Amino acid sequence: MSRLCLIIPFLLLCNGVAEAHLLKLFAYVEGDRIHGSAYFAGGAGVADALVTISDADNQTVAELRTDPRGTFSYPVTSAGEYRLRVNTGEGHQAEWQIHSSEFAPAPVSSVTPPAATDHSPAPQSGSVTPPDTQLARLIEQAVARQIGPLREQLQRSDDRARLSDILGGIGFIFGLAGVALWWRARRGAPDR
Amino acid sequence: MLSSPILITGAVATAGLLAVAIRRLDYDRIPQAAVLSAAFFVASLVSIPVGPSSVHLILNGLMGLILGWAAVPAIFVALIMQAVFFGYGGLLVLGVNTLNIALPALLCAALIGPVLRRSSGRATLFWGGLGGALGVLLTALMVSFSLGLSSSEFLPAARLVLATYAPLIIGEAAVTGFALGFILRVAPELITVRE
Repeated sequence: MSRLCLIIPFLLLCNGVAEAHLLKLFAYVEGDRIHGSAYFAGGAGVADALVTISDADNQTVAELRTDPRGTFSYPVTSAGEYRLRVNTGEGHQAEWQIHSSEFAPAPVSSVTPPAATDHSPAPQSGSVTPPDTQLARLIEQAVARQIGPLREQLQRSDDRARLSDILGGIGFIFGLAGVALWWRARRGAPDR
Repeated sequence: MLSSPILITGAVATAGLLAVAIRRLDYDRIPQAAVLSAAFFVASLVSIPVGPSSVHLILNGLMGLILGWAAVPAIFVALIMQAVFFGYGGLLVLGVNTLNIALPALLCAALIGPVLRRSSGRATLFWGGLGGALGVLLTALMVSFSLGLSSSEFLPAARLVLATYAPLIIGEAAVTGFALGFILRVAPELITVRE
């Protein structure tokens, strides 16, 4: 019995390299592309997993497979709500939601031409805004590109099984056993 | 993923198993049950990538052989902890998960338990290993069965699950065999106590 207890510290030691058995999906928008990855919490990416992208009306937009590193990328035609799902086919699946606010504002080209024709007497204002908005869009894209991997890293370290959780779970189990034994002692179970 | 009839069936069957197990509960086994429950809980955190998925030790054969009926609450409690702390599976599929793991444990106890108790030396290794392998194999079959009944096609799902679990069956057989061999040498009363 007491020897059996040896198993637990041993397994806890292994936990340094362990990964939780929980499938996770992460995705972010960069320009008009959705980048993402599927991975097991605290561990490596999941290669060749089926990723389904569906829009706000639950219509499937695309189905793709992750590459050997577990990442994928898909060009979307319009900004909007998207729901991503990954399924490894044997009981593991995960979801990720992309909100329309993550996309950069609508392309400037549709707004600027009327503005430019209306303000023919003041050509400066018409010629100044397009580069400005374009610049803003470029900056937004660059920031998204820089921050995307960082967000992913943050998410991943958040998903990692924490020692405190593990110890908490073990504590609960032994606590329950204690309650059961106390219950038995209180009822004065016959000795065997 | 799993359809609601499957989820409800799993929950009802698990509730039934738990009721029987608690009525038959041998209080002398509670400490063993707690230790094995904790080992099961922790073992699930140590997983090895296999193909598109990853596997971890289940230990349900070992639990069934040592605990008998007490394996059901032990597995149930450990699965609750996993769902609460790490979000494995979630509480909705708790019933199906418990059933898929506990039923093979009970079958191992019923089929291999009596032979194991009379064995010694190498025979213990063999029967223990067989129990470990049988536990995982039955769990794999039940998982693919519940997947197949719900959504995915049964055969591809079963093939995928079995392919993922194949290396696990070997590992599990080795762990269970050696653990039982060790226990029979140092603390045989753990296994030889009859229900």
